[in-house]
Amino acid sequence: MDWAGVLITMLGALCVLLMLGLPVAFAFVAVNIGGAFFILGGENGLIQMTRNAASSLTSFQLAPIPLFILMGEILFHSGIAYRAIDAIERVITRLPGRMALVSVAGGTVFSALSGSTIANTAMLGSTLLPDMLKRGYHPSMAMGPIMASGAIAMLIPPSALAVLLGSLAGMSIAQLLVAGILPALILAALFSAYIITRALMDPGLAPPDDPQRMSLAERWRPFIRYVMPLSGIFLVVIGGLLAGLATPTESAALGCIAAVIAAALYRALTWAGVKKALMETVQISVMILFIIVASQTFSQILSFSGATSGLIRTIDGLALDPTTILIAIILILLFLGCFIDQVSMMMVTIPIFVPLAEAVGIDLLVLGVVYLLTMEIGLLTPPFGLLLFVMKGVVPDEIGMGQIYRAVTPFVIIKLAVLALIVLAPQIGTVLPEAMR
Amino acid sequence: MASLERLYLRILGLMAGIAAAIFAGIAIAIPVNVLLRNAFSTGIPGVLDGVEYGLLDATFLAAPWVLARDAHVSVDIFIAAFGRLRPKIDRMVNLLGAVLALIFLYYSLEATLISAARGSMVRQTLVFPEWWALAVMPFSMAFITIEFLRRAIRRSDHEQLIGL
Repeated sequence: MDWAGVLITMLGALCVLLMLGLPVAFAFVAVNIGGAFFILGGENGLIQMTRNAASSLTSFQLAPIPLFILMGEILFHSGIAYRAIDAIERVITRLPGRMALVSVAGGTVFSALSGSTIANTAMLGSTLLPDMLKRGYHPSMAMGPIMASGAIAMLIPPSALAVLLGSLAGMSIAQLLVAGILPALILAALFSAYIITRALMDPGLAPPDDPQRMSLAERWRPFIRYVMPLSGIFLVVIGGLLAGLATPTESAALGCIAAVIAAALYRALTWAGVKKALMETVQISVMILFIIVASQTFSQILSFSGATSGLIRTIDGLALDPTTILIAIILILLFLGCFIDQVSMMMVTIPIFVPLAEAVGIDLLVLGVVYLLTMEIGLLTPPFGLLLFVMKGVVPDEIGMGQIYRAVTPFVIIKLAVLALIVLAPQIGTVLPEAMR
Repeated sequence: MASLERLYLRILGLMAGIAAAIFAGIAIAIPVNVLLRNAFSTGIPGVLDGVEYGLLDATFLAAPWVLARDAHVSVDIFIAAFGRLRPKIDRMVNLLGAVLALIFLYYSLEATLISAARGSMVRQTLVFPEWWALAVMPFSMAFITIEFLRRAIRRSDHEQLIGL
């Protein structure tokens, strides 16, 4: 079978198995078993496949994945994150669309403390949404900002998927983690600008509220008490990386310890909370890491069969410029994001797109930021956008999926605009990591 | 039968608990290592190896528990459209999962036995027989096979949103 046949067979089989609902990790194992037998060499290929599974996981680079998740889970289960959201709400006053702005600010702050978009969205949804609906916010103005800013956790470090992307694609994990900061801040600023503009144009969407009258001290004390110290955790994680003092794994582990110390100082550390945080960490981390079990063999099969080089030669033969190829990569990732999860997206495309980008001269760091942003958009695009379902889980029953899709659309358009901006001005993604070099 | 199932679930829970302890151990060992390195120019010997093989063990030990909680990510939007056929397809998919896990079990056991027979060693900071590291795979796959068969017999109704 020629390389095109191998590629079509592998991806086709993978699609069918995924559509049948086989867990993603086992769909990859199934394709690997076939590929290892026919391409890597019969039974020896299958033995090699299992050895690859072990070597895929024995990588120090992957350690930040459970650690970043654990850090967020500790802050989540100790209740510190909820207190921080409440404190942020007190200091944002007299602005049009105030509560929607609180959700953007809260989502951005918690993104800097957690690597999980689901935890972020669920927390914002459960704390802010009922209050926003009660105050007469239009459901679109209430849900859209929560989903959009919940997804920012993909870009702002600590991001577990950025670690995975860096590890699978052979990119510098430290640089990739830092590269997401500026695009994320641009996103948060644009979300805020959109909310204020919409609230001014149509005050019915976000009725001006009259927050409880408080003195300056009452307003700012909780912020100083619950939000400022949390920035210390962010500094521990990112400061070490930026200064080149710590590896991503060391930063992540120090972040965990800082989260435990913070929870203890707030007297919010309980054995039950730690146990829950650890078990949630096991569930989410193992779900990701078990898919990685198949990563090495999957890319080996694509490489040995000549599929990777054949595809790159074909695209090279089209004599397209790097920007066109980058746009094509983005379109494919956006399409995949509508149907499959983020880890599968990376597993399927990285063995092809990374060598392709290297061959045509696309900066890998720019490709990394593009990956993170497209995966973030994939969390919000129907029909499989995971955060849409997280939102459905926390809204009242009368709000249907159609309304959730409509609520998120303006924010997806903003994200697409920032994606286009990165293609036009890649420095947005590279300026901070280059400062580290 | 019910007590056997309780015992089985308890074993899965214990394996997940060991995985949690490994992650907690990694979270503690690395900062201690950083502290020792910076304060006393020394470190915990083999911490890097410990973290790497800890990830392998934690992942394989907890994978059956994650499957039992229906928490391995899957794409279920298409299968939802099958309506009344869904239970049959679910059963078929779970049987396929059991076959895949059994194949993986067989060849990972082969890899482990070959490594033990050859006396292959992992020679990093820590030195130990390689089969110690490989053995976790067939052990885990045995439980995953059982879990897939269990799901094929009695489809779990545990639905939750999985991902990052």
